Amino acid sequence: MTTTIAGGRAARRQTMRSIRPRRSPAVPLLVAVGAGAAGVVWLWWNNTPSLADTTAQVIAAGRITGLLAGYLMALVVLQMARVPALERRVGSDRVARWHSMSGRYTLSLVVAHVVLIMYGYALQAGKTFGDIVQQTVDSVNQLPDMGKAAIGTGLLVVIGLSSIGPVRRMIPYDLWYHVHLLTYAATFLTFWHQLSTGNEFVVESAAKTAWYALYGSVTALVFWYRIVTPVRLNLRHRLRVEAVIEETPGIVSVLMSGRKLHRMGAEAGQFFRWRFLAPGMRFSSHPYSLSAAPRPNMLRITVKAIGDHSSALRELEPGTRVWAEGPYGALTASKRSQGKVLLVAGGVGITPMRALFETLPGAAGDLTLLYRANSTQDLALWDELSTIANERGARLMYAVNSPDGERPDISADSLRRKLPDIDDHDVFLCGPPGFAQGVYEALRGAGVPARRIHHESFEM
Amino acid sequence: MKKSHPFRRVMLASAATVSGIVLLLTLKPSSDPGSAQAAGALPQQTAPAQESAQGGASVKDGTFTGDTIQTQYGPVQVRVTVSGGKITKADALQAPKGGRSDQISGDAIPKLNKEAIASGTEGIDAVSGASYTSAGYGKSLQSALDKASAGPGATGGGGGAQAATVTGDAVDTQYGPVQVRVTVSGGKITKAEAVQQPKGGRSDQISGDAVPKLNKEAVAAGSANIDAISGASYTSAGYKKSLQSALDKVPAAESAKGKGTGAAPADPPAGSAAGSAAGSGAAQSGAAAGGATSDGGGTYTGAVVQTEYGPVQVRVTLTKGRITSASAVQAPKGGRSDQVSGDAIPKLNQEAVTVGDGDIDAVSGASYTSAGYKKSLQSALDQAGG
Repeated sequence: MTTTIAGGRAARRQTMRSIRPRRSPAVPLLVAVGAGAAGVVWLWWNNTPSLADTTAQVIAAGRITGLLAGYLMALVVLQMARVPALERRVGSDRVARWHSMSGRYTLSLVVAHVVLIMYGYALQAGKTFGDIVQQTVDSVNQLPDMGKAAIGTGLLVVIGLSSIGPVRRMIPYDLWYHVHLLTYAATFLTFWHQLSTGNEFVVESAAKTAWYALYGSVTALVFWYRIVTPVRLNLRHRLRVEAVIEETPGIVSVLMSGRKLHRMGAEAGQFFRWRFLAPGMRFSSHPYSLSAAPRPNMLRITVKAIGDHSSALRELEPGTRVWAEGPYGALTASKRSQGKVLLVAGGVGITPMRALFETLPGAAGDLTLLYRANSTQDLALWDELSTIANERGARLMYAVNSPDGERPDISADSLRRKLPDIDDHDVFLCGPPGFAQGVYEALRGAGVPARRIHHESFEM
Repeated sequence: MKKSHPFRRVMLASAATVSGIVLLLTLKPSSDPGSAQAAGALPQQTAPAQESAQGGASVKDGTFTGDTIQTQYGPVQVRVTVSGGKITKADALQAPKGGRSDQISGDAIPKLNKEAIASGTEGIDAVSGASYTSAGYGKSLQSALDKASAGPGATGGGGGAQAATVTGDAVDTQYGPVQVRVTVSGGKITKAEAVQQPKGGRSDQISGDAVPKLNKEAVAAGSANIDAISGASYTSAGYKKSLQSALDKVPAAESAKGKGTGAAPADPPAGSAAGSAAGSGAAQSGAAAGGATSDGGGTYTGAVVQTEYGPVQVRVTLTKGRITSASAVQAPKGGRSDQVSGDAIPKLNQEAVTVGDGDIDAVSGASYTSAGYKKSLQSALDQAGG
């Protein structure tokens, strides 16, 4: 069995497509989010005639933080609803970073909200900051839905702690992931106290309606895109492992067969989250890029065996059922704005680049692929790449360490020497974070504008 | 792929959030003239109470129950025991309940009770963090004291201290009849409710939504001059008509409104909403307009009204029912208040003469003084009317 898959019809069709760059909806989305936050603050402003003293100010600060936290909580969940507009247009990596940032921020707001409100209530009852714990216990006992809210807040704190850098590196990915799923429970539990004790919602029925609409639509989106869509996808395409092939030491390709795979809507450069229904693997899903454009009956991923999961891929039996969610990712042909394209791959980052190299529209001489690896033995998929380069009249270059271990020179100067018109190129970049950072700076130094460097990074 | 600076980002986000919230908090006034309905009701209550106390021996001994006052968070009702012209016991028969209100009421009501006793009959200050409850408590307390006051002392100040409950005509709207019942006390509407309202299907929703708002509006406006609720224009119009007819029925002896009715045009027979609104003669200002018309002239000194910055008291001279001269006997003094008063009082005097009745606008930058001025002016006009 050869690792090379012949070019398919879908791939050729993609090649014919003209260049139509699509703008990322990130900026309008951020503006809408900001407008929503302003609306939430206005809600408070409108319902607060005056602040008589410090007590009132502390409570008001508690209310503002609480309102914003309630608003952002819905958005934090929305960011992980796998909405195609976010995953494929903004980019999964960027949305994941937004999620991580806004998650931390929201949790900080939640903590500030609890402390401020309880301090304010304690002041109101003529007590001091020291009585805040007693005040919290009283409030949880006496106020409606506060028991639920307290449990939900506790969960949020646990989820937050499990995501702090050192803690997250200590615990297995699966555990972290499943703890993270508790966010849904926490969101549900903390929702009700907002409506039943939140001044703005008790007084203003329109605000209540808006809140139901916000949380209701997020729930609907999560249900649709995280449950219904994957179920439909997998019922329709029925993926199974066809073969596992060792490309180079430590890098394996998994070939999967299924029905009408070209109808999955996947493009070169995108990835799926894969769950292999084999013992020990069925409870975790991992994102791997397609290493070839999808064929009607075949998909391929290529994975470097670094973690437990990727090492276990080697042992997969042909016929194992596969549960896929996707396609996700914005690193596709629609990103390009120029005729000429430079693809830069570092190590296993070759996978999406390999698919793009095959399918990116372009005449002979328009495409260049620069492949960085430790040694020539580590240049996975090299034979395929050479074949594609020959067929398409594309340039293929590699950079490996010299025999004495010296790293190759990838700098602004060396890039300009190799490609004198580099500033006319769109650059697609994929590789380990340190490598990507270095290449990014070299590219900028060589005169490539930032908006033409397309990159995905899953480092948080 | 810009270099990420996690620490800098955290600092920026925290600084932006904290300064944003602090900015919002500082932009809010420490007490808002717009909410005078709630908080400002307190000082207002003191005027007649003071008067009756000073008037001497006009407070009967006994136990008196005040009106039920609806606040944003629920009803408040106060019962006082008066002995030797002083409150010896005060308690709340009703207080906001449920959720956070339990905590607040549990905390504020004992304080308010204490305050009521300590103050004698002079009115109370709001308890911090419970401004709505305090305002409701103050109003209910005042109505209890009004009941305790026998005769002239109280009637002179408030223009009729007794509460009267009147039911307006049933007004047919496109969606069904609307009928309003109001309780008028001290020349003010203290309670408004709909005895009948459009029912069935969508009307249940609309009425359920609009009627409480209209009730609130009626209490806030003190007259039938209320705004229609969006999405419930027929109900609003019917409500307004019925409310007007109720106000027209308030007996002359029991309310300041009675005097206003004498001069106000008869209830327009099923007239337009605008017509009835124009003819309404607010329970308060109607008294002034009506009273002034029937009376000749003279000089009257209004009640002392306490504002945040000090007392305001207005004296007016009336000729043929119009204000020909107005001056402030007292105005806020000291520090910045000298400047504000020095600037605002002449303007307010001028306005009172120009307008000819109590319906003057606030002077910008002197909203508290203006509000106090207006109240005192009104009480002077009430005297002229009575």
